[in-house]
Amino acid sequence: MAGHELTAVTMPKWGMSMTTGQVVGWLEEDGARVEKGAEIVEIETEKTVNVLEAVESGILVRTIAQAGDKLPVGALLGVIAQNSPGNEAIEAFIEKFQQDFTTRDNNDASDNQPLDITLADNITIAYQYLPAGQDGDNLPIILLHGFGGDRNSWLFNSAELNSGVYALDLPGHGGSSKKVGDGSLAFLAHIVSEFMTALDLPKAHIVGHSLGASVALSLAHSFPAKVAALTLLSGLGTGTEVNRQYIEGFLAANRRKTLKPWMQQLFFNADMVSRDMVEEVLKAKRIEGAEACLGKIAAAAVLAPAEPNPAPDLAQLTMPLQVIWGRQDRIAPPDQTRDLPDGITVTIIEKAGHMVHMEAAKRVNKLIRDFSARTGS
Amino acid sequence: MMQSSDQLLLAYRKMRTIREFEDRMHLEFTRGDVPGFVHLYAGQEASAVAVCANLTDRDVLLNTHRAHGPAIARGSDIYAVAKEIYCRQGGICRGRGGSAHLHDVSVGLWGANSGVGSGVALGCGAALAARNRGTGGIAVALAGDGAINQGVVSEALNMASIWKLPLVIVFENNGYAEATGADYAIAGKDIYKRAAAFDMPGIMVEGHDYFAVYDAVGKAVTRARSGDGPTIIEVKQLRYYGHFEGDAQSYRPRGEVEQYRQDKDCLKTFRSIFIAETPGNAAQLDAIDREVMSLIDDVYAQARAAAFPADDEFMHYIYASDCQES
Amino acid sequence: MAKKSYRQAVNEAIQQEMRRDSAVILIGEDVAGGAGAGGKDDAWGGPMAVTKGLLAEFGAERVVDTPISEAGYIGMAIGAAAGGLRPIADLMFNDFIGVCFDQVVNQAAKYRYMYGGQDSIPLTIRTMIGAGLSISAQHSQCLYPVFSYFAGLKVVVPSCPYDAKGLLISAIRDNDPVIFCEHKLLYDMVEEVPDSPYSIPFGEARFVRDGGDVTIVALSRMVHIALEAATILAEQGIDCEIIDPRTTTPLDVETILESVAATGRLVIVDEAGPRCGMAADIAAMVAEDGFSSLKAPIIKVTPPHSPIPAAPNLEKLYIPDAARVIAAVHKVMGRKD
Repeated sequence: MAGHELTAVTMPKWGMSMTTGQVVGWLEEDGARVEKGAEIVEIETEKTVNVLEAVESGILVRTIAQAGDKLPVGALLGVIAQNSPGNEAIEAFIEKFQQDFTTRDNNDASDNQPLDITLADNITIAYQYLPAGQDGDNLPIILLHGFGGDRNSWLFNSAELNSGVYALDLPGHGGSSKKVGDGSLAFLAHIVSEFMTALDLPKAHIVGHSLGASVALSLAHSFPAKVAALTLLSGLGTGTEVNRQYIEGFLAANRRKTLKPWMQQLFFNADMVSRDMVEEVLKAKRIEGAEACLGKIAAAAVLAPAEPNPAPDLAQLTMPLQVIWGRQDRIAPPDQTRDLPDGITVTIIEKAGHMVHMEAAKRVNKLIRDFSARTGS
Repeated sequence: MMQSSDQLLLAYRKMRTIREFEDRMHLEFTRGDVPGFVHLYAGQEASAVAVCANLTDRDVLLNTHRAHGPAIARGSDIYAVAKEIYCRQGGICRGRGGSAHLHDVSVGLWGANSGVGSGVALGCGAALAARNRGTGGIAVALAGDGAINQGVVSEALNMASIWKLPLVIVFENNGYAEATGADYAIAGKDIYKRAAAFDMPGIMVEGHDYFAVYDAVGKAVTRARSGDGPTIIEVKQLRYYGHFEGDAQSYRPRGEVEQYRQDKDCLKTFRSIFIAETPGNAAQLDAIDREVMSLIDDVYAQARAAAFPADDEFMHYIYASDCQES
Repeated sequence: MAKKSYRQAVNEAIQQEMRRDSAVILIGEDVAGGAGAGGKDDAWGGPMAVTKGLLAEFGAERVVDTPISEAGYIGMAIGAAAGGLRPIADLMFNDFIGVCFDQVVNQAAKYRYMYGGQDSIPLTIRTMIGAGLSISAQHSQCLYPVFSYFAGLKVVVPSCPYDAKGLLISAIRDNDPVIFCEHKLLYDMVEEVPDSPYSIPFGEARFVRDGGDVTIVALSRMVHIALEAATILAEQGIDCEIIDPRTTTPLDVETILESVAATGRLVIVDEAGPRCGMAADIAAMVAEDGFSSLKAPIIKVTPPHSPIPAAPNLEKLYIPDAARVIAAVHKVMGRKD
């Protein structure tokens, strides 16, 4: 049986809390030839819908799970074969898999439990660390989420970057302290710098989304030695042109029904916003002090009047820098990337909104991986 | 405690105002434009007025369903009181409570409840809040003779005593719990004697004598304010009208009210004591009587003329939050 | 964030609110549990040890053991609320509402309305609900439908530790009287609960499980019974959506109707009785406003119209279980058992 090189396609685990997923439908039919990395099956989690990629090239010899099936993480969805092993071998493989399969306890030790570290002034930063895989020997990557988000917004990215990945919750967000100083980018960047020092990370590839991109840029200006490379998603720093209505609407909403329409504006495909995704954001906003912190950051770092031309700011930077944007971004329009200085790679991704790293995870992951490799960071 | 001449004239004015207000209500009620039922306080005026003369702005008076007299005594706007009884706009409870539930937080008068004796437990809370918050205030709970037989009153008296709450409980014994005689319904007949069982002082006082009630309440208020705990005061009195208007009162002995009016009317008693000390005061009292008469005319005219609450405000005042359950 | 029990979540909510606001006090029978008894003055912390440790931090001025006088101390709590405190009154078992009904439904509920909005009663009454401990008919009822009848009260029925903490903080900060119903069989349930204070707004139901075939509305402990049933039903290919209203006043009818519009089928699982209960109430609302979405009659899964027995075998028959929920779902799906 081993000689036939059969590979199980299993229910993925996207993000900490995922225990089951629902099969939306196969994108490839039984018997189709699939390449490693090809999108083969659509899976809906409590949070959103995403596409599972083939882990091996081969023939999709069995699609076992049916559209609508809700299955635990690790459950068998289908089988990919290198050769033509024959029905008997495939059936034996499936039988053996099902015999051995036990639902994984979501709380087992292999899970990446959230970590936290306390910095000066008793500011605690919650973060998640994923060690580099076997073929990843790059510098670490630090992921900085956007306004009102947290580390979970990287659930489709963290594990796919071939580097040690630190996804942290910015102050005032997620599980981090509800202390944001004056709410300025300088303060937030200072905290990221302190975080790197505390974890003994002299240098990293900083990937920032939206507000996180602004923090990343501030860090690059103030602590250039710590930034090996910069990937900016849907944001260009202080000069970014931002949809004020969104920021104000998001801040004011404290119920599912009022928040959801705003969150849908973040995506090209509004169906990406599940009830659970909204609930997670609400849970974070409900924590005492969170809304006050967000208000402070909004005033000081997001809505603060600035010249809507970030180009000169970017031109001063010496480290490699790339910009990624969703074409249908309704929060920060993509045309503001037009007049950036030479030498900055700009990728505009079609059919993606502000949350480009969720909606086009595969594309974005590859851009980040390649950038890490190309820049030697 | 000595009262100034001004204080005494104010007390007389309040007693006279209550009397005129209630006598007029007795007549007006028969016109049929007072909604619901009303319980009149005529005959009992000295009690509420003497209690209130001992209180400050920080204190709380807990009203009973026989609510008009205590509201006027505590200083509620008499126009707003009348409008409330007529269930009109401008009533102190915006027409939602009516005669039996007069409540005016602006003067430290807390709600009358229909459940007899409720104010004693609520008064424990008012006293507890005043003590915990360090306001220096006390609470005085009014209750009728019927209330002493309520379980919650015994519970509240016990709690007030074990925690030495700054509370005074005034039982206005007007002889009847609705149509049932107090002497029939109360074991041992004397309410004030029950104080001993709750380890607190009990005082009995004749309710037609403003000065006697004032002194008794004064002692209890001093005790409460100094942290020594609660006192029960039983005020013996008589109501001049029925339990509610329309009550034929055939359960009462003939001539009872007439005799009491002649011998023990609180206004007459006050006048005779006040004039005995300073004969020249009679003219002042007469002037008050005339002023009160014309005030009452105006109060009733305005109350009858006021509009009823707006229909589109039907769902108002149910919840403090914006959540209006439909 | 750490895993905490429902008991700890309730305790933490009270502790954090008492620290935040000196007007918050806790009163009730044995909330400290040992006043004047000669031994430890906080031996109990409530019969289920929910308020354990609070006396030591806040003292007897703010954690007050009362005599056994429900009418007296609930009345006192109302007066204290009117007087500027924010009392949390512990009515040990909700069945004891019988002796303080006047205070709760005639005084607290109507204080704001009957006095024309002059002031409000920021009072939280914590009380235990639910059967399952063989403590018979006067210690085991679910009386939140009774409380929900009265305009002026808000009624909370948390089904999990996260909700218990966030909803209790909301209750304590709310300016209206709130009856907070803790199911005694949930005290040991454990889940992630944030250490910081947070508040969950009233009147927003929680989607416990998304599904497209049947809407199950379940309250308090019944949420877990519904989940158990839904897991089994999923294996049979039936996908249940479970909604936990979290508060019965205000009630998030909108979310229930929205779900029924998608599934066309409704099963209501409630540990309160079948007559004049939440199940009947919700069924009536959906029949009135969501009739055109319904593909099958609404089914109520409730105990029988009976007092609660002490005998464990009879009590087991009384409380709705997963099998009854599954049978009800089969019925609305048109399947034969």
